[in-house]
Amino acid sequence: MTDLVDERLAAAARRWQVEQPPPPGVPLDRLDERPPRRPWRRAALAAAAAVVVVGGGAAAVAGLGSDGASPAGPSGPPPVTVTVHGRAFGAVPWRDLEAGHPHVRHHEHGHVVTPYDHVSATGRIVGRVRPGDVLVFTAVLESATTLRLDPCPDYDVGFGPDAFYQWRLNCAQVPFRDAQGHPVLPAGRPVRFEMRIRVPDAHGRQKVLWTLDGPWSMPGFYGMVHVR
Amino acid sequence: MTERGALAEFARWVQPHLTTLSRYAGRHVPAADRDDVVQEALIRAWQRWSTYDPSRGTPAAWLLGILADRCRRQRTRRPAAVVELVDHGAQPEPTYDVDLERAIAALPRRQRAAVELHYFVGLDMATTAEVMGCAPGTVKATLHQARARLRDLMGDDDD
Repeated sequence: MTDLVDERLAAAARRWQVEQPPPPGVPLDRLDERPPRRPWRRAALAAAAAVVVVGGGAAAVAGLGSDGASPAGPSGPPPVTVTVHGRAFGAVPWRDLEAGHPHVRHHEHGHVVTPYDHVSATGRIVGRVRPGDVLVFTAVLESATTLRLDPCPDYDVGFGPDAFYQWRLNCAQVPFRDAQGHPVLPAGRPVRFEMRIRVPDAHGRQKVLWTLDGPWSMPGFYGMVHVR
Repeated sequence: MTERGALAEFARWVQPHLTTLSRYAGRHVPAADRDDVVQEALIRAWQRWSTYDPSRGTPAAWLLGILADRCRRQRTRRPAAVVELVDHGAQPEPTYDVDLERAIAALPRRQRAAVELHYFVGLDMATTAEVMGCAPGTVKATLHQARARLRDLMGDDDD
């Protein structure tokens, strides 16, 4: 007797499998990494490293190479003793995605507009870091209306007066999709994106500025970090 | 063997199982965490690789055991607000069988595990049994019970 539930399960599983993104590679450069510590140990280490961790958009310092990708920054950084497993939990993970420079600006009634003109970007960056550290924080994007992230926008990060980086948002891993399967910012629901940046060779108080690329309004935020 | 050689051998050893691991993680943690959890499991597997004993199980079952532990840890360490963000916000895919997924979620734990491993992760009966720590015949029986329960939960609309 044909089991229709069996067929339905097999069909659903096949569809689901096809829709899955390809598996990640073996993180050869992370294999020597220590596993994530228990929360209380992570907190103790963070305190010892004098890293200020705040709620909402949080900033923390990660050990070098704690991600498969390599955040941009100066080559040959000094060894880092901080072993905090820098992970912005609950955020769309950071990926080293080259800026796509999408054409998002167009004219409408004599004005230059972009799909992202009404997106708000918030976050908080604060802490003590050292050159070569990887600064981890979250950028929170929110839109009053459901907004398709197509094309996927770029963002800029300035660190102090001299360092400037540009990447593309990790839209592919945004956990919200419209009916066509495109990633979206859902109406009124903040979406957190993990950000990573290698601290350049600078000293003293430095301004870190995050902006969404494209809109004239340049939605973004900034914070001050102390580089020792 | 050099460290680099051992790393390369480990990479070759796990390569055939990456899809299986990703599927398992895809069923047990939010999509945004899938790759991170798989990679954490691979790091853990590398650290324990010397303890792997082929006589005690297949590589797939061994790796899935480590991954299952990482998935459990991931679920418990995520703040509640984040769970809400991911679980409630994700829109169903166009091909998503909502009724079936709801019914699967309502299955008893062992039945749900058998369904997930056999159908969605794509394991054969023997490997499913190994992962679940039982005999293949038990898996068959569990799957039979699960299908019967699903039929009930979905209101007999398939009969």
